[in-house]
Amino acid sequence: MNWEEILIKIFNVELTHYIVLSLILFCIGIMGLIISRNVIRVLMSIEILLSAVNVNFVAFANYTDLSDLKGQVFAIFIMAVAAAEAALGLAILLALYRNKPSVDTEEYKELKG
Amino acid sequence: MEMQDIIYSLFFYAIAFVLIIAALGIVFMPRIVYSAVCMIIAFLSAAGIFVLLNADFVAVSQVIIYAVGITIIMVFAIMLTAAREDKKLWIAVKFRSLVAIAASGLLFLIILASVTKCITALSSRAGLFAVQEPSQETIQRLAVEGTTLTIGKALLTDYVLPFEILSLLLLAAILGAVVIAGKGQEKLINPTTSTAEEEP
Amino acid sequence: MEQFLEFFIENAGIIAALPLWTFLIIIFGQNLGVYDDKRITAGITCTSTFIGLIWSFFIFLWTLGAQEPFSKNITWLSAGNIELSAGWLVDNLGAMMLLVVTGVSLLIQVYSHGYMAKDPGYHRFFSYLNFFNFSMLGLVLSSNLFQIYIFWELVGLSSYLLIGFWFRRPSAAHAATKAFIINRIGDFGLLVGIIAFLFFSLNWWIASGNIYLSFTELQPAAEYVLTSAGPVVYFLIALAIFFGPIAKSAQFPLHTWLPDAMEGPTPISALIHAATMVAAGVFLIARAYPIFEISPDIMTTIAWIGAITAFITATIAITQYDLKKTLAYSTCSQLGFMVMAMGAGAYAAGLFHLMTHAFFKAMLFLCSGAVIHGLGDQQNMKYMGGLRKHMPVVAYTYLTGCFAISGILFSGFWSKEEIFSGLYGNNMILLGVGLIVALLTSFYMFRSYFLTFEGEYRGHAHPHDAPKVMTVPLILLAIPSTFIGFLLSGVLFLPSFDKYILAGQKAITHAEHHTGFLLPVISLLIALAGLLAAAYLYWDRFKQVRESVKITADNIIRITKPLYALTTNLWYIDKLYYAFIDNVFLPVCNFTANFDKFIIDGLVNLTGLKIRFEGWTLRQFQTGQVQTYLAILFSGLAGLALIFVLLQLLI
Repeated sequence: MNWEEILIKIFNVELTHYIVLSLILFCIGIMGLIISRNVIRVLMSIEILLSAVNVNFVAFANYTDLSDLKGQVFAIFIMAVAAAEAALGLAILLALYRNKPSVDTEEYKELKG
Repeated sequence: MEMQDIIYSLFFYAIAFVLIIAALGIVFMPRIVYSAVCMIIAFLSAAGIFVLLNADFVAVSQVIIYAVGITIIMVFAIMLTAAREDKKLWIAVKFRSLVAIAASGLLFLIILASVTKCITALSSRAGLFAVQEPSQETIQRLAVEGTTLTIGKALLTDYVLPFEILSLLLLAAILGAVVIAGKGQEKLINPTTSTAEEEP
Repeated sequence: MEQFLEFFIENAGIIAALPLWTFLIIIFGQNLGVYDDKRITAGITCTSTFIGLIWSFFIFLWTLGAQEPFSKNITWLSAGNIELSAGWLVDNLGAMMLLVVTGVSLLIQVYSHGYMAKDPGYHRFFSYLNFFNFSMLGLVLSSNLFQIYIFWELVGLSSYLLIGFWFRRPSAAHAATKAFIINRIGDFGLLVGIIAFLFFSLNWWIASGNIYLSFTELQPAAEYVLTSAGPVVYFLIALAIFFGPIAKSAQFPLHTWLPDAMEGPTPISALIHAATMVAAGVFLIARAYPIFEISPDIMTTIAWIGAITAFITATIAITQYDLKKTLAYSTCSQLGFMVMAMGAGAYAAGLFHLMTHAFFKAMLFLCSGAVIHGLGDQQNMKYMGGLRKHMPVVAYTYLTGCFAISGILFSGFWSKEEIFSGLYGNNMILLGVGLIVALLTSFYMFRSYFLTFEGEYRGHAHPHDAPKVMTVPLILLAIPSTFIGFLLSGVLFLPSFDKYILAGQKAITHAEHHTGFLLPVISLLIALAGLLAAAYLYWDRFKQVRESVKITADNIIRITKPLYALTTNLWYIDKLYYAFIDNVFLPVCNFTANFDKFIIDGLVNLTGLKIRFEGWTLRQFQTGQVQTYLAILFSGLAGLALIFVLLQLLI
């Protein structure tokens, strides 16, 4: 493999590049979901995860299904669901905050038998 | 290799770089407000990615819904929960953090390996994920009309049932949010007032 | 007249039911606070027993003219081809026992009204007393072996309640427990024997269609069992059945509970020793006589156990200083006499002695109760003496009882003479034992009389005479104690007891009677010798003679030191039992208990511990923190993905 081929591989952006991008976003989202101590940051991490999925959908729509664009339709659906999720997340966060005036995830450990 | 492709790829790398940096910033920024700012940047760059992928309608929706709507919700959350313990609530110094970093890294490597192998393998035969060259007609149509018409038709014909269910879901979410957040609002005040009364 | 008597026979169960009703009336009347008068309790108790006595008397009249025993049964339990019945059987033996039981208990109840007058548990006492009567009368009326077992157990229970009547005293509670446990040993043997007997004779009962285990059909059934089971197994079955009487009638290996049972109130001692509890054992031997009779081995065993009991307990009675214990051991000894007579084939003689003994032993116990009552709960004869001046009625009735039990012309003489003549034809060694025991009996009874009623008063309390309510039953009991043996011995124009009892028991082969004057004269002389020896050693009038000859009780004790120690220590039987329990039984129990506790439970706990450890390990992941769960979830996902990729690479 010579330099030319490598350059061609790098600069010829294809489906694989987008998949790797969404993969990176997904892994960052998971990491943020687990290591954050702030509830709001956890919510943001969930949004990153959804964005990663969106990127994936739209990339597949572009490269395999340009005539029907089903992936983009699903991306729209996901956005709507994400909006609902964010609204509910805020409501739940407020309800939690009312019971225990903290946004620290370490404080919420009642989920056990 | 044409010049157009090189410019496209440069744009892609620039936007992807910003997106990844912003996503990392969401997770690792020390203050939650910085995270929110990072989130706006991340969403905007995601919209840029969508533009690169010929998805103009999705890109506009991304800007409207994510970069504005959800960001406002997050900012509200930050404001309503009094970010006074902001500094110390950064990253959990726990065993699970190590596990999380290791697991996500491992997942990344594995999927990277399988993706690069699989995509090449799959694209070599005419399979499900075979990268098709779009017909000239479609390119023409998209260049003239954009994607909005196609998406709109799909939403109101093939996907009309999920679309209606989605509207119901949004309604339920709004009602649920109101009920959950609004229930027993006096309790929000009581703890502070009671502690204020007790102190003297 | 026939029909009039038929009515009483048809409803003979009423006799047993009356005390039960009285028992319930007292229990509910007291606990619900309906009445609180002691005279009401005593009144209904005595009235019901009196009605029972009258009823028994009419039944007795019926039996005089009857040819066949009367039996009335209902099916009580039927399981497969076993069908158990309950009902009543009236024959000559039953009628005699009914008269004795109701008569003696009536007098004891009257006496108890005086004896227990100041006791706070008065009503409880009378309710137990009625329950005891119910059990005993039910036992007497039982129509089959299985029903008799039920009442057998009830008798044991009520004796437990009454011996432990003053349950706050540790010694009384201990004695009651001892009596109950020792009786359990016998009851267990009886139950095993009954079941084994039923098992081997089941086909016979099915074929014959009779009431199962009915007493009237025992003889053919026993013969069937003997042929089907073989003599060795039959001997074991009969021995198991005989275990019941051994415990209940206080025979040799299991006699130790009876002297301890003196912890109960004295009327109860009288009742247990005379009419009810210990008589039940002899009564069962009489009822089940056909079973024992066809096996000579078991008859010999019975006779020898009776002889051993009679001898051992008579020797113990000599050295006792407790008035009631002396009487208790004398009861054991007399019961040994009866059992010995039964075993030697002198069936009627044994029952005759049972009846006469019931009267004079009840009287003796009531006398001792009057003495103890009059001295303020003093039972030791060392602190008595000279009481004849203070309580003459008690003294003379006691003396009557001594004459009777020793066999000097009063009723005991006639029954003992029958036993001796029964033994004479059968077994000369047993006759010798019997004569020795008769000598000892006479000696220790008069010893207790001289120590208690003659000489100088050695105690500190102020003796006072018994009230009328206590002396009248004594006098009433003294009459049969004196005359009944003579009246029923067949010498007079009245019907002989033997003929009456044997009339209903055609099957029983009767031992040949030795008729002659030699044996009665010898027994009379022996009894007189005992009387003289006791008088010489313990009567004050012979004090000078004693001191001049230098043969006194103390000297004799000094010379026969080992023998004396043997009898004062009750032949070490109790000590042997306790040593067995302490050194063998309890260690084995402890070992098995610890084995169960540490090895078996340990194994069970170990498996539990393993689960607990696993649970503890898993619980460490259950922090309640959502992000921990997420971390586990995603590491699991990463692991699965890794496995998937590795598999792909390998394949």
